[in-house]
Amino acid sequence: MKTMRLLCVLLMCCSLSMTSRAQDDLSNMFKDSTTGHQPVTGTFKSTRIIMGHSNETLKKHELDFRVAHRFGDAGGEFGGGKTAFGLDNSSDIRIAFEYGISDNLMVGISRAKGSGDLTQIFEGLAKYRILKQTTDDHMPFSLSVFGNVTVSSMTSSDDLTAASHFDEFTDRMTYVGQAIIARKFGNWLSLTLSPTYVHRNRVGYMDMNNMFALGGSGRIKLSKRLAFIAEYYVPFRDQTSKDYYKSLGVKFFNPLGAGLEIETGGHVFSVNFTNSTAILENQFIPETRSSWLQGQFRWGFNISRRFSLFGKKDWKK
Amino acid sequence: MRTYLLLFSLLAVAVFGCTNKEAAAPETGPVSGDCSTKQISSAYVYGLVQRTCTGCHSGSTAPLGADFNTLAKFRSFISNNEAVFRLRVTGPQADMPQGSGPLPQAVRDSISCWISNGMPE
Repeated sequence: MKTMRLLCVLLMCCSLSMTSRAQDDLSNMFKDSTTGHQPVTGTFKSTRIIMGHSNETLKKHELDFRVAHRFGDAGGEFGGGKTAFGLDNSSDIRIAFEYGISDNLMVGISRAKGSGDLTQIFEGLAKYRILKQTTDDHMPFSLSVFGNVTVSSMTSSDDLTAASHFDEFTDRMTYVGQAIIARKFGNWLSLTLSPTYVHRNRVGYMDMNNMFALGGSGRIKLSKRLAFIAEYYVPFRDQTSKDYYKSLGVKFFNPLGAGLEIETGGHVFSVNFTNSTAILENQFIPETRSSWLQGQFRWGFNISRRFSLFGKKDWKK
Repeated sequence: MRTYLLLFSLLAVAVFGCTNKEAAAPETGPVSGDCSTKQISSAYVYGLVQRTCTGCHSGSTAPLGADFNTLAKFRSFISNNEAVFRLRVTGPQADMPQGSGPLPQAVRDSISCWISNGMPE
């Protein structure tokens, strides 16, 4: 355990030093902005795409109130007309307040119902924008890093074999670290690639504490206020774990979402369909067990309302 | 500098909370016939139901009409739909609770025995 912590601290120091260098690059980029290195704006309209994060961060002193909801299965055995195609059930709900500390750094807190081994989840998150794409391709892509920590407040299970049996507080915690590489192509297409790492302190038998995943997403602008968005994640679960869960009749599926993004002034409203039941990366990446092909997809929405705090004044003044 | 300190503090909190734990392997559970020696209480089973099922299976809009709002309704549903319940909750192909199922094998075996023993108090 000590070795792991030492390794983590070393990695942390490395990432900070890389951040410093990247920040220097960013400063240089802005220094030259008058000579043509203009940053590309609006790669995505929101800090989220469907399930995961975009490269965008909030502006300084901006407060974002977010509500996300995922309903029950639209089709399959639990969907159809008798549940109004899933509207009678909710698989996950998340309410969040996120805040821009600077134009490049945002933090947030949220509460999610949770859908998976753990429920009743509190989340703390931070996202930092390291690089901005420029219009003249001096910097060909944007790069942001995102991380969160979640804590489940659910009652510990009596069952020692369950992931939700907590011997100590840290058993309730999970983490996500993600790099979001994005590029905007012209005015109508934006793409991202998101290498992701999920760590869960306590997992079920033969599940994985540490899991890597690769996310990809895209946004196609249809009109000034409307865009088509899609997102897909490939979690890298090892074969031994897959085989064990298969023997129990459990199969994992890759999360896939598609939807429409509508911008209305200070609101960004995303209407989407996903096979994953959970909203947080900590759950939908390692624990998606529903399949589009079996009708186990659901309607969901993300609503974002932004407020500018402190007016135009800078709080340093 | 303030930004870096904040980032460093957040990372430090995250890193020092890191552990790697895996739940114990589920017991195979009692095989058919062993249930007579097991004393599984309604309180135990219905406690599980309240934690894992009633989020969806409650009220008139419960899926498949499986309203587990009370122990009596839970018992009644099993009495009338034992085969479906065993298939979806305690059997080898169980997929409940939806989205996070099946329950661990030992738990499924306990519920199965409780049913086999006539759902005793």
